[in-house]
Formats: sequence, C-alpha cells, structure tokens
Amino acid sequence: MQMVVKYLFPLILLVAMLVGCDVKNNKVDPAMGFTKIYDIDSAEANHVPLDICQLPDEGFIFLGYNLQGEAKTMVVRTDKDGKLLWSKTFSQYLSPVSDLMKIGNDYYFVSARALTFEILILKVNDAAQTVEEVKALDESKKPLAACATPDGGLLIQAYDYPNAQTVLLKLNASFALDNNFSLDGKAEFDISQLDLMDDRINNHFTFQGTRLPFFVSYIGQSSATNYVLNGVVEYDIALIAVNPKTGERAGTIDGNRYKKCVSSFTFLGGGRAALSKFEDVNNFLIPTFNTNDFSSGSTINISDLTSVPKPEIVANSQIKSRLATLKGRKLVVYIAELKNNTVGFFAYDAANGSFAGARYFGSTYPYKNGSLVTTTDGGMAVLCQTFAAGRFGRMCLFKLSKNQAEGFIN
Amino acid sequence: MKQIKYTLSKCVIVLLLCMAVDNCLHAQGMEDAKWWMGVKAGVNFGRVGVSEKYSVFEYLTASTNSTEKVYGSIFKNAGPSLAFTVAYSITPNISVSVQPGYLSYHFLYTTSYRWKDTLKNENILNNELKTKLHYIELPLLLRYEYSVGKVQPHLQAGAYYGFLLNGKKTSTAEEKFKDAAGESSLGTTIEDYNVNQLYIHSQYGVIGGVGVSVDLNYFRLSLECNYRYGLNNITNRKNRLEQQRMINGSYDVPDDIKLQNLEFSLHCATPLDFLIHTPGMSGKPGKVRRR
Repeated sequence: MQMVVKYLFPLILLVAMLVGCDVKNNKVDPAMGFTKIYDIDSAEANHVPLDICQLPDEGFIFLGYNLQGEAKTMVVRTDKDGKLLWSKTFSQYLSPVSDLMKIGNDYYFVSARALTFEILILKVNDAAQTVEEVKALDESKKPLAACATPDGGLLIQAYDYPNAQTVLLKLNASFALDNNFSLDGKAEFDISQLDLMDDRINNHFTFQGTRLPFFVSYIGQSSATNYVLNGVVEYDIALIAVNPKTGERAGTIDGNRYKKCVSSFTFLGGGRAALSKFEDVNNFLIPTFNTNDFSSGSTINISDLTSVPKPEIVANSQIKSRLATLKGRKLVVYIAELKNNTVGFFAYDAANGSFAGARYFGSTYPYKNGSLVTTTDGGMAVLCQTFAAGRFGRMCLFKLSKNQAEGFIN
Repeated sequence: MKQIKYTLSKCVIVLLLCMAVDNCLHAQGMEDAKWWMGVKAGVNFGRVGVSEKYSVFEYLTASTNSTEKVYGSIFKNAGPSLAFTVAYSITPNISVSVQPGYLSYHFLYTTSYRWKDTLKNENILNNELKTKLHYIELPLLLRYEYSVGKVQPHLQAGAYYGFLLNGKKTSTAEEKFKDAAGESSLGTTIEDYNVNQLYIHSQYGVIGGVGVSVDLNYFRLSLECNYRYGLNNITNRKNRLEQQRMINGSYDVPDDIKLQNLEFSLHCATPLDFLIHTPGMSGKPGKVRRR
C-alpha cells in the first residue's frame, strides 16, 4: 500500500500540473477574431460589399448592394462579434457608391433613386433599422463616387450624361451645394468622345460590366488644400487635383483611356500620398508619391510613375488603400483581388514606403471586392465578397484581433 | 479502419502470448496475489458533448438552413484502444489500477446548406466531417468485485488524463443540384486536414464501467464496458479560426466540445507477485487469491 501511495501521488501531481497549464490557458480572448459569411437561402441573390465602418459599440455597418438585375442598396448591421443585428435591402435606392462616410456621429452614403437616378444622400438610422433620405440633388446625374471632407461636408463625383461631363459636387456640412467651391457648387470636366466612354460609364454605374476605378478624395488633413477626382476627363480616366475654392483643375495624372490609370489614392500627410495604378493587365502599388508634383498645375503621364508590378493582383482589380496604425507603425494598406482567388492585404510604412507585411484572406472559393477598417481594439476588419459553394455572392467579414493583425507586420 | 485492424491484430498476438505463458504456469497454482499486470484491447465508440456552438454563417433573413452541426450516432464512431494495466489489491474485493494506453477517439458531424431559386430548384452542399484524435491516456480506477461461482462481476470507477498525440479531420463535400427532374450530383471533394492546432493537448474526465472476469489458472480474463466522460473543452479557442482552408472550403468552425466514449475491451491480467516470486528470485512465493 505504501508503494501505491509512493508512486501514485507523484503521478497524480504530474497529471494535475499538465491539465492545469493546458486547460487554464484555453480561454477566449475578448478581442478574439472571427470569420462570418452573411448568407441567405436565395440562389439568385448576389451580394457585393462596398465599404465597412466600425461603430462606437464596436459593431459594424456594411454598405453594399444586391445585384439582381439592378444593384439594390444593402445595409447590414452587426454586433462586435459579427452577429447580425439587422439588414435591409432597399429596392428604391440603386447603385450605391463607396464610401460609407462617418460625418459627426452619423453614417452616410450616396445612392441613386430608382427610375429617376437622381443623386440621394442617405443616412443610416440604426435605431429604426433603416436608412433615411437626407438630401436629394435635383439634377439627373449618376453618382460614381463619394467621400467625406474635413469640413464635415462631402464630395460626390457624378456623371452628367446630357452634357457629357464628369462633375465634382461639393456639399457643405448642411448638405447644401457649397457656393464657395464654384458658383453652382460643382466642377465640370468634359469627357470628350462620348461614344467611347458612355457605355463603359453606364456599365459601371449599373454594375453590369467592368468596374472602373472612380473615386474622390482630398489632399490635406484639417482642411482640404485640393480635392482629388479620379474620373473620365478628356478621353481618359485621369486623376485630377481640383482647387477647392474655384473648382478649377490644379494638376493631372493623365491616364490612357480606361487601360492605364490610377486605381486608388490615400493622402499620407507631409506632401505625400499612396497610390496604385494599373497599366493594361498589370497593377502597381506606389506607397509614396509627392503630391506637390501633382497639385502644382503640372500634368504627369501615368507611365512616368515608376514601380514594379504586383503580378499576383488580377487585371481590373478594385484596389482600396487605407491608413492604419499597427504595431505602433503608421501604415498604408492596400486591399486587392488576387489571382489565387483570395483578397490580398499589402502594408507599407507610411513614412518611407518600405514593405511592412502582407496577408491573403480566403481560401478554396473565390474572394474579392475587399474593404478594410482598423478597429478600436487595435485589430482590423476586412469585408469582402465570397461565393458560397463557389456560386452565390455573399458578404464575408474577417475580424482580426490586435495580435493577429500585428502578426502580419514585420 | 486499417488502424483498427492493425491494433486488433496486435491485441491477438498479445493474447496468444499470454495464453502460452498461462500453459507454462498452469501446473503451479498460486493464491493471494496483490499485484496484477496485464494488457487490454478493445474498441471504443466516440461521441461529443457540445458546450458552445459556432458557425461561419449568419443568416440575413429567416432561413431553412441550419447553422448547427448534426453529430453522428455513437456507433458510427468506432476507434481502437490499447492499454497496459497494473493493479494492486487493497482488500480481497477492492483494487486500484493504473491503465496507461493509447486511445483513438472518433466523431463525425454533418452540415447541409441549400440555396433555392424562384423556380424551386435547389443547390445543395452537404459536408461530412470526420475527426480522429489520438491520445495517450492514463486512467486511474478503483475496482470492486465479488465472486458468483466461477465468474467475478465487477464495477469500477475513476478518472483519466489524456494527452493528444495528433489529430486529423476528413471533409467530404458533395454538391448537388435538384430540380423537377430529380437530383444530380455535381461532384464530391475529399480533403484531409491536420487538426493538431485545433485541439489542446490535455483532456481529463471520469470513467465508470462494469465487467465480468473469469480466472484461467494464472490469468484472469475480463470483458469490460467503460464509459468515459470528458470534463474539459478540448477545442483550442485561440486557434479555432486558424484553418482558413477548412473554414472557407468546408464552412467548418469547430464547436466547444467535451469528448465521451463507450469502450468495450478484453482485459488479460496475470499476478505480478507470482512472477516476482518464482524460484530463483528473492522473496517468498505468493498465491493467487480467488476473490
């Protein structure tokens, strides 16, 4: 019996120690990441995400559309764990455009009214689980892109078909057309050969054809020293710097038709910006670009922006760039669709443009149309489109904890 | 299945060896043995207790699809078990034993997703996911037995600790299309995943069972049925989402689970005292005690 006690006791002690360590450490990190796919039973629904924002309660709002004939606006609201709180599809609001904009404490986006296609500014009403119309612009122009500006207003890029013009509209914080911008609150740029571009712009607007890299942005931090528009101007898709007082062109990066052009732009501060461009089937990430070269009245040929191609990015990929702080480093991150059917995340140091890390999201079935937001817990959330069972377009959210996100950074 | 056959064949060899030794010792009956040594082999049927469910899917509208996994019947989850046993008789009816061994837990679950169009055609994705977790286990059992003629029924209970050696998950995904004309398969994909990182190394629990023994001279043969009830979640919560290929391909996110199993085994033990006290070795001879 003494022998039993002599041998059993240390054995039990050893086992207790092993169990104690292993089981005690198996706790859920409160900021743990997750993956969610937002599905419905319909085989005909095709959900495409556009943008994502995190709310003060750490939940998320997605803006997207359901492409079933028309591109019907979709808004999805989740809690911090990705569990659905509510979602709505609005057949009266078509062809929404990125960005989903935080202005004050509210979230806004731009869409077009069904049938008339007039531009609508819509606000997400989370309490009522719906969206409400804030402003209808009385011109029959098609919205192509939108962004919030530092003064609490917003910029809208629109296509004015009757006049064959790309139009930049500036709205102030009261959502009125800003007369300081120009006399009628807009800048106008001829697209010139209408027959060459009209179909493509229409196809982009209706989401029926190749997506073109239309966007609006600005140079400046507390106030915009120049607005930036990437749209069809004089035959080509060009990146235009626009004087915020007069609405006149202040600089151009000239593309070549729709085959060579800038595909994303993020102002980094200190006279620098991060760009991406595509030339035919090749994509290039340009993490440092001197904005003074561009906004001082000069014209730069797109081919003069030198960089090495990123062969993993698909031709015609929609590329988004965002500023992020991870591992204590200010970074510019690009999200792009890759040839291996995943969404790629590429990070560069915002200070010097050096490569900081990369990561692919998705596997097996295709993933595309990514967007990204850094989260209050120090992690990030990547929203993209996946195809359930390889066929049905659905929104998919990858939430990464601080540790996971920082693990991608060198 | 191959592994079960391999393990069973090893058990048969061990049993034959035991019987050979038994024949050699048959003539020298011994009683009152305190220490017993043996081997046991058998088959176990795994099942899991789910403490928290996880799914990659969230449904935007009321759905006929379920996000929950359907765990398979226990008797579809056969796995082998093999152990070495050492027992000490505290009293004529009560003994304590340690039974270190190898045990393979198997469990399977299925998921099914359907997408319908307005013509009522259905696109179906059926996944079957079979997991095999191989453990080294260390059970500690207290056994009570009594004699009924030549046989000794027994009850036993105790606790066990298991250390995960490795694990594998096999996903079988079949896509189907169903319309008015019937159902047709679009293809089946089978993929194996290494799931060592998905589960923590330790599992512990309680074990209880019944059995019946018969003495064959210097060997005691027992047929046992034990039930293991795991007490800790074995899913590694930090690594639950590490297998992107599994999540995005099979839409599989493991639940928090506790392992259980029903084990049937054949146990062959011999008195260790007799081997220790055979002529030429020190100490006085012992006796096999019929309890």
